[in-house]
Amino acid sequence: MRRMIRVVSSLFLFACLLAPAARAERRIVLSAQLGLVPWKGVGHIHGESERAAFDKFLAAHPEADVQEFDRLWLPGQAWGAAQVMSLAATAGPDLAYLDFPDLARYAREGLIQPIDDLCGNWDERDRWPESLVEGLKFEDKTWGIVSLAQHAVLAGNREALLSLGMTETSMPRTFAGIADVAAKLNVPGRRAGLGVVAGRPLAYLWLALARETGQDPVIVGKHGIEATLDSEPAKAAAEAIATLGAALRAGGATVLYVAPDALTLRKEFAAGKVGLALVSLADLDDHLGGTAGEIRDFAALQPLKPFLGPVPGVMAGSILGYTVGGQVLVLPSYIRDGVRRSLAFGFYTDATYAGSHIETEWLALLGQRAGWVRTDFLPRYPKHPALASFPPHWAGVLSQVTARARPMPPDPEFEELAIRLGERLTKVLQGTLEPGPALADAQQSFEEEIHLKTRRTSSKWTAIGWIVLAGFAALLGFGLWRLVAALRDEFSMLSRSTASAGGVRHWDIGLVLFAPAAILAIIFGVIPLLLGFKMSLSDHVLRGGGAFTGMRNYLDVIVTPTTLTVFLNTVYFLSLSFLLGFVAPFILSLALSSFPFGLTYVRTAFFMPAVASAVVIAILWQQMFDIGGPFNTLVHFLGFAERKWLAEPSTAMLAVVLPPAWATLGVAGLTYLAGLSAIPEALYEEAELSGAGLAERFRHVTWPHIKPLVGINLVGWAITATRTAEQVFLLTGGGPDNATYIVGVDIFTRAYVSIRFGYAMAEVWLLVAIILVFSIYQMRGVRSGQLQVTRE
Amino acid sequence: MLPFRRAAIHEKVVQAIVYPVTLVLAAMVLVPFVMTLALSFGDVDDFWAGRKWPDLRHLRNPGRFYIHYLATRYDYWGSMTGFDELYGVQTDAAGTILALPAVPELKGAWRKRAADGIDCLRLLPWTHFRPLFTGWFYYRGCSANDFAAFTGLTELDWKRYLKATYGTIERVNAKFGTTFISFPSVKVPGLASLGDRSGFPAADPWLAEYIAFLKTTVKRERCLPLLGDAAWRGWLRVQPEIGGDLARLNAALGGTYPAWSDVTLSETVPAPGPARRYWETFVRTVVSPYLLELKVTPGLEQSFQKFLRGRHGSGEAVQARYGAPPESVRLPANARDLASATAYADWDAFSREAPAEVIMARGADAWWRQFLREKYGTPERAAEAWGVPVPGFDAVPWPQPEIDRLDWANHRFEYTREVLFKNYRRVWSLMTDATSSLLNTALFAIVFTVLSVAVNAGAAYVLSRFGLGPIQMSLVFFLALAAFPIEAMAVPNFLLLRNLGLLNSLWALVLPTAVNGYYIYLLKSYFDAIPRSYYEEATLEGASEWRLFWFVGIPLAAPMLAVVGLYALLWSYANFMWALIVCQQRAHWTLPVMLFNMNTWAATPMLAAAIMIAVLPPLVVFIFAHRTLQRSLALPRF
Repeated sequence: MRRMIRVVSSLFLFACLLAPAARAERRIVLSAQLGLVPWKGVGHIHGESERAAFDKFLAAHPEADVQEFDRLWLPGQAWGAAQVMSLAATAGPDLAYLDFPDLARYAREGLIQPIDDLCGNWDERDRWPESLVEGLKFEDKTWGIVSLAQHAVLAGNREALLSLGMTETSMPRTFAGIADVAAKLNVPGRRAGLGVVAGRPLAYLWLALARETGQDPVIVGKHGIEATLDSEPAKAAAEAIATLGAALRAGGATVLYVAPDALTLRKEFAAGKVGLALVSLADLDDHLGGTAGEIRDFAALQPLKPFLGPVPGVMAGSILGYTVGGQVLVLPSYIRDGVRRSLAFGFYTDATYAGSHIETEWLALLGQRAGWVRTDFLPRYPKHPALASFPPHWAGVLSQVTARARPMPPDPEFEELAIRLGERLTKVLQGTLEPGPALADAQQSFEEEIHLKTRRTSSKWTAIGWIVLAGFAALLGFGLWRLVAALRDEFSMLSRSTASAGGVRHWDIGLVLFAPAAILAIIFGVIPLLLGFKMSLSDHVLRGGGAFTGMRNYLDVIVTPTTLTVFLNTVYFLSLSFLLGFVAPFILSLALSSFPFGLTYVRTAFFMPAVASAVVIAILWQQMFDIGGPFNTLVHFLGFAERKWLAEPSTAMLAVVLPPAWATLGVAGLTYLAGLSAIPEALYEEAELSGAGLAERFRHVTWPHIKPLVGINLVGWAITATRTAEQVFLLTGGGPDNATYIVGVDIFTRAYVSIRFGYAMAEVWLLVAIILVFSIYQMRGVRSGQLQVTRE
Repeated sequence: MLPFRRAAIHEKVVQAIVYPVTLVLAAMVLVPFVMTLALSFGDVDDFWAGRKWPDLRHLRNPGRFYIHYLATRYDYWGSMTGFDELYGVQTDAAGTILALPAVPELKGAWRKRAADGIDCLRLLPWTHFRPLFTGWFYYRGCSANDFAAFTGLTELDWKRYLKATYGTIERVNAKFGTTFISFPSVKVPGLASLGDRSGFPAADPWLAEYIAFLKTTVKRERCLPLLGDAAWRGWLRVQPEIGGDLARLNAALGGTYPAWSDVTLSETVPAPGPARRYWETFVRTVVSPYLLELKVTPGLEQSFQKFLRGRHGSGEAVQARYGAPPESVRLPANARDLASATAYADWDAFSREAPAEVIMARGADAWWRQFLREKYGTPERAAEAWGVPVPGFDAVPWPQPEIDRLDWANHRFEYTREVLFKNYRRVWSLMTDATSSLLNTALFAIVFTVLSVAVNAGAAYVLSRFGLGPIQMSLVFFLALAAFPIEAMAVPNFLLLRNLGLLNSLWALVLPTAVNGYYIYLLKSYFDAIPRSYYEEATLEGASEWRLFWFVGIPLAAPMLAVVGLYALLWSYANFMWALIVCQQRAHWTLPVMLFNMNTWAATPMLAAAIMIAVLPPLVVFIFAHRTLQRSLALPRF
């Protein structure tokens, strides 16, 4: 019987392993449609007409397996999007995705079928929905296509442009149209303004063009821009820029204002305080009630007319996340990473986010040169709610920027990247860049830069890596040894535990009862574990398996410089967490154990936070740590200066440890309380009679009884704390300045933001080596009779 | 039990310090919840004022509440120009109402005049309602700055109207070609195009439906009519050569207006002069054709027919469009009843060319004066009815202040309720629409709890009863699995679920985490403690293994089953990371995922309201399962 179970289970395991490999190959469906463009694995569709067209396409291709991710479009939510994104990418070619560099190749191989007859096509512009045109009130119907073009151009792919009907020849027309509009918008009485209605930041593209295609393209004065440009497509751009400059000069505007939200911008405009304003369509969409930045209904833009029409300075760009209170805020390293990531993979993972890295870069460069980057807006918004409503991890970005961005730090790498981008842009526009090999080279170089630059491959570091790895192997060996020991104990307990199994035992029923758990555990436990281990041995980056690399990932984890930061941060986190999440509840339970009155209510109060889930906790504590929030009020009351606790590297860790501790304080404390109340009172009385003081009673009566429970909880706490990632991610995302970049966050970032699954999995297994040891001790503790559930 | 000895003095001192500190700590632990509750009453005014904490003092002070009401009603993207025009006062740069000179006393004529005004509103054609107050951006349900406005009430009325008329959302979608997923997600069509030259809303059935609703059910006093005078003044103000300056206005128009409020739109064309030029430009190109009327004469009709022929090229072309030869096409006096876009566009174009003498511009104020003339006949009788002197009907302004006052007085309770609970109302409708995250979460939590208890209990029972080598080993294996971080499993598990076609389903949430080594261990220990004699006796009585499981194992392990069930319930309710990865479609979002999403766009007050709602279910569970939880506390936790 036993043998049969073994055979059946191993056969099943084998079958499960084979199942993924056996599935049929499916077609790739690529959509070059406007709304689907920036995404991989995506159904991000603008508007009903595109939806209808896309549905039609799907109906014609029933074999298409399209995965729709509603959540991908999260303005400013970097990791949420990237995470799902990377999963989509890993999931391989069954998903519908668009990949600019590979577009041509896939098309040649007949794998894809671009949809190019939709409103994203410039040459079909007469067929664009009237509501779109009317709603945007834009003379030259460039919405969308320029966005597309920009992304394509920046990705260095001319063929993508061509295949989408957007060519170099149509670009000047676009620019001319914009220049025309800009001229019309130069209304006297207004301080300044450029009116561009576009989902994507045209303005930056012109400026980028001006800067990168001209000899000395952008001469930025204090009050505007002058540009001299030669190249054919850039001439129109030059005109547009000149118009912009004239408009700016005429209005005497000096400020490049990037509003935290459209309402604020409107307000600033109404007050005549803003020169050139930049808002994204997504921001406006928020006010239209589109969820998650998707405009479903262009007719809904109608009411925006009073906003778009009479206000001469409207918008371009989606830079909500990078800016606040009128100051152009740029965090070079963050943006640089985003750009690199985008380029390395040859696609723009997120139009809002990777795309706007580029835009923000241009913006920053321009702002820097123009002297536009002003700070005097900021103090006007110290308590502005918009500051509080940024996604959590932006808090770090903002603080770092406010700390460093005046003046913007010189960053040669950043400059270099910008220049390189510009070069490619120029080449593409001049038609000299061949997308094929040149692009592959560029991609490879970027990939190397990302993945290999920080890699220490010298023999010294390799040796160190192997030594540390040997240490981990020893740890794992120790863990396994303890595991075997635990198993042996388990076997020795066999007779005892089976003693309860009296009477006749029916194997068939037993098997039925046991099978569901076993099957589920194998499918969703064992197989993923093995797959994950396989990943850790390969350079699993994007879709597809990746080549076998042996222990390279493990060595990389050990020798990567950030690992030390992660390690130290984790130790810091654990020590703080030990005090707040482990010692504090214990002390609390001692105080509660003899609480003289209303224990039920006090206990309930402490238990209350346990009802909050991770997201709720994160949101609550963002508000708690807000300027003007309760925490700062207390701090202020105590006579200290208010500060952004989550946003300053020196305090961020404390601020990150506190929320989980708050949430588990009651639960952990009451656990001890239950243990404490199990100690017979007679022992205390006895001790008291023999003259023992408070400390002695604790030492000789309380502690011996509570010690095993403390031991178990200590291990449990250690495991939980080491694995903590959610809370920190939601609160700071690892920032500011990597101050809260602990191991859980690192794993998550590597896997889902950097999309390096192999590395992440290696890190997981190294962590497992440590946790395994903890787990075994906990298991032993649990087994050695600490279950104190009373039978009722 | 107690480490403290009650008798000793120095220990009492320690107690006297420890207990109050504990109490203070207990209070502080609750601060985040209190804070959230307070924040959930936030308002758009707090946003503008840069206040973190909502200021609800105006609810207790009728005067302040009234000003708050007006500010909310007229605020249009931070601009109060509508208010300025109707009340003849100037708000400050921040849009704050500084004084209310035109607000009538609560006693006296205001109620009668307001009633007259509302009567007039009933007579007005619908095109005279410019939905300024029922502004679009307040309707949107849950946008980033959608804090507060009483206008949400009209939106509710609109949804109720649709539901009463059509019954199901499918019928609404079928009729109007819309794609709403539920009634709560229905939006109000934008009507802003009524105010200018370009709009032709009658061609849009969805808009026509909304207008029909406005005609029937909406509370008239909440609508703002399109006033000729106000539109005229507003347009004049922004002319570059006038620039909002009264002296320059008088110079440009050749008039002698003592104040802006004296500038009125002439119904017919003024005498030749600069004023006529402005009037013609305004009437021909700026104001909506719905406000125009033509004095139709046979001669004018003929010129219209000629105009049509010229515009469409030939008589045949006109025939093709109108279904009649040009000679028999009639010229309507106004554009209000035109149903075809062509006819509307032709009328509009003709009105730009027609002689100025035949054009009449009639805003709601003109209708109001006509209404008064018909109702009262002479100013004296109106004065008698109102109890205030009325010099002449031409000088009677549109009674908007009175109407506002009436609206406020009649619906104050409704408005108070809206001020307080608008965020909760919106969040609730968001959570319970067709993609109900609340329902998803409930379903997930219940299915997960049931499945998890069943599967783990079965396994634990077998482990306890059939304690044999390989199976016993698998217990260790189950436990070992619990030691791996969720990140380790996420990617491969995601791929696995994808290949199984289970993504975006309940099973993707439930299955991977249903088996839990820790639960199995807890349950197994409990089963182990059941004396073997129970089984033996049952076996002797001929009980099968099933019966042993059901009638011996399960009942005796009930306390631990309750604990495990509770763990599973609370865990699944709070589960976030895995739900985020696996449930990508909005229709499958659970509550934490939705909160996470809301955190990226929702305003703080709405977020706070959402949290207050989200915290409630576990709180209820906590209250009802208090004893079980207390018992479970003695267990070590992973």
